[in-house]
Amino acid sequence: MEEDRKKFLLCAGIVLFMAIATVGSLAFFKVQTGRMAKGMEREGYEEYGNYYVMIVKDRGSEFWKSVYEGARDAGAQCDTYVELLGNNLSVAYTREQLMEVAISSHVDGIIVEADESREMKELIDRAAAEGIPVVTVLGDNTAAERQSFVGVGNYNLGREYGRQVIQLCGKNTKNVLVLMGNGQDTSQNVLYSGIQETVEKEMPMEGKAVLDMKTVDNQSRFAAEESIRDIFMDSGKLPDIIICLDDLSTKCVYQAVVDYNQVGEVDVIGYYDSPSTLQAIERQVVYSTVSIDTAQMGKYCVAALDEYNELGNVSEYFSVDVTVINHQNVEKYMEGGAGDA
Amino acid sequence: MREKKTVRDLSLHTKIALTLVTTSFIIFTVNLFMYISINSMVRRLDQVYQGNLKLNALEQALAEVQNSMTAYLNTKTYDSMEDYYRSEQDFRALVEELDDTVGNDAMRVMERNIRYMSEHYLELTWQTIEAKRGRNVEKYNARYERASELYDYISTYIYSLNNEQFKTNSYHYEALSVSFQSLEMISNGILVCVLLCNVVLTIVLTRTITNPLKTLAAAADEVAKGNFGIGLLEVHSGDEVGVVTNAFNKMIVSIRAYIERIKTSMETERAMKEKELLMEAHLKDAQLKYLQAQINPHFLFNSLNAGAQLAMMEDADKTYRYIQHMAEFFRYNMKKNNETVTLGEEIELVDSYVYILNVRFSGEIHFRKNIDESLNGIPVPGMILQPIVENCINYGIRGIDREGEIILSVYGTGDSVCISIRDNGIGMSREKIGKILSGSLKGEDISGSSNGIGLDNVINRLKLFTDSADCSDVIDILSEGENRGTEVRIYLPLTEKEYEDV
Repeated sequence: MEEDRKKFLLCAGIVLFMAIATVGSLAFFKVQTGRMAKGMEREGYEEYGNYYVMIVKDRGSEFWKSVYEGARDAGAQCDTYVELLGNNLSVAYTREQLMEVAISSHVDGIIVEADESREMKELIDRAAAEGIPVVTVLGDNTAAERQSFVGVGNYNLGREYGRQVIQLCGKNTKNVLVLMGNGQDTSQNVLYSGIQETVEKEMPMEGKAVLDMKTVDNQSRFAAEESIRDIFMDSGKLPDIIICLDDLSTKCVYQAVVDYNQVGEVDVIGYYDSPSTLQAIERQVVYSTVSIDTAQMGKYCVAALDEYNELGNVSEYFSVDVTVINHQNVEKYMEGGAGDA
Repeated sequence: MREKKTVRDLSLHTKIALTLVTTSFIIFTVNLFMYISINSMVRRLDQVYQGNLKLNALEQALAEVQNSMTAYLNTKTYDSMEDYYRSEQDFRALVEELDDTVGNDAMRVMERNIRYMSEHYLELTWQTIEAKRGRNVEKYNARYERASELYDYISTYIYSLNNEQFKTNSYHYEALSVSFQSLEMISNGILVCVLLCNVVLTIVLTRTITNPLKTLAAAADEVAKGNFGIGLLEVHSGDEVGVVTNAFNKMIVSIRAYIERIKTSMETERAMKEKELLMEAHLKDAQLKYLQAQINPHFLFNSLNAGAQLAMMEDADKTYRYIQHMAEFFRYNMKKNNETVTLGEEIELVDSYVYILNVRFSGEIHFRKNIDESLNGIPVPGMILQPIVENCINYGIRGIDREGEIILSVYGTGDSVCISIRDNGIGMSREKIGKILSGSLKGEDISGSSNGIGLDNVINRLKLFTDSADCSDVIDILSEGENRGTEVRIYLPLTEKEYEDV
């Protein structure tokens, strides 16, 4: 009897073991693949009520990436998805083409880095006609029916640059070259005049700055770098101070100064606090840069659209904070990453 | 216990079938599980590129709309119109399947944009065709222009989305195929494990079935070798093996009993033969001793008879009687030595013997009898009483100062007869009695002056006659002490018939 019982228990144990092994490992497998599949399908997927698109010229630049992140984060907090349009497309569309796409896609709002071109005006007007609010950012099209403009006070920014120039000149006379982007962007003209006025009014008696401007072709591909190299090739006319008005030219000038061994000879005043620029300031290759609060910029864009969608009107102009970064305070910005703090 | 039919009581056929079915069922179940999981896995793999297939279909439908519209604008045929309607419908159906929600997933947003752009596009194509119908050349040209532009955008969007999806899907596919491999490993592992377990299970179960058979076979082998002493087999099950084992057990028991019976009967036969032989041997011994002791009794008897006749003729009565007794004595010896005689004849012999001795020793022996005459007919072995009386005279009363006396009593004690010979002689010590009864007293002590037949011979013959192993059942010697005489008692059982006669 005892032996029978043992045998029965053994058999039952074997069968039970097989059942547990089978079901257990299959269940384990199911759970594993299920978890993986879940991860595949909707990893942190959230549905949003509004859909805004952001259309900029240079999607790859640190500056715009940072602005987009600011806008995206601000949007996420008020049920809005913000897309940097054109990012996932196989064709590199122009801003105008992307505007067409946005209008055809019936988005809830467009944030566009505009210029004063006619085509842009038409597109903005068409969007407005379709009931899509448009906010221009950094670059404006004053003639169009855009709802609001979010930008840096270019005149104030010019004044900041002017002060930097005065600091660099001291009691000497120095040649200053301002690298302007071409196109119908009036904002840079405003900026330039800001520099000019500041230098004229605030310069101490002894010092003097001779301002000059050069247009850098930033429309066609690789042209900016080439035209900046051209300046350095002609070493006889090399200016004492170079002022860059965008992120790309800042990077190019920085590299050129190093390549042509002009560190210390040419002072560079940059634009935007990308990590490489900050590094350059730390190494004293670049004298200073202006930091635009990109997160704030993105946030203002979304806020403007939201406000318009909600109330039907919105203030025409949002000004974003600007800070000067130089060797004295660069440490603080480097710690804070991209420096948009 | 009996009512409860357990697995053990199932037939062999059912047991084997059950084992096979159970193990097969387990393997089948495990396989089924595997099959289901692999199937669902394959289905999932199939679905990975489902999105791409859909997008391809969408792209194709879009191209058809564009082509049919262009064809209509070119030719304005009914066919192209019909084509346009059909392709427009197909495309619309596909577009409506697209997700139009907005979420923080770029691909979903692209899908939404495709949907809205496509709707816009379809509207535009329709307006273009309307304008063509109205032959408004400028309008339809402008609209065609815009529709084509939009077509390009949508195509780019679909293409890009397809690309993006393909990238993620490929990643998913890779992950899935990795887990597919792990599923393969798991299922192989499980199958091997289940196979091993099933082997163990089958061994255990079949052993349960075959073990009693093995035991039975071993036992049968033992029996075949002639060893019936094996213990009974335990019956564990109620199947055919159990039945056979039971039958085998019964067979062993009955064979053993049979052998036992034969043994006993052989034993009895042998004992009887032995007894007969012993009896004969003792008689032969007695006869031999008698013959050694006596001269030819026939000669003696005839001579004594002649002497008796002579005495009668001379009118010498006493002499005649004496010689007559002598003749009787010898004749008895001659005749009855080797057979069973009656008690009466034995008593007559004792009478003659005592008479002769009294003549020899001039009446010294006072012989008295106290006999239940009805017992005279019972059979007794010959030559029993005379040797005892002779002993009484030789060792009991010879040489005592007082008158010697011998009393012979015969009386019944229920189912047996007691023959008592008592003297008033010197008596016997307890040790001597013990020695006589155990037969260890030999030689001169007892046979010195007897006429040849010793007391031990008498005791042995009595034992054989009564079939008793213990001499105390047939003879008893009592003595109250020095000079207080001895009594010898012989007990003879009465057979039923004798008992009735008495």
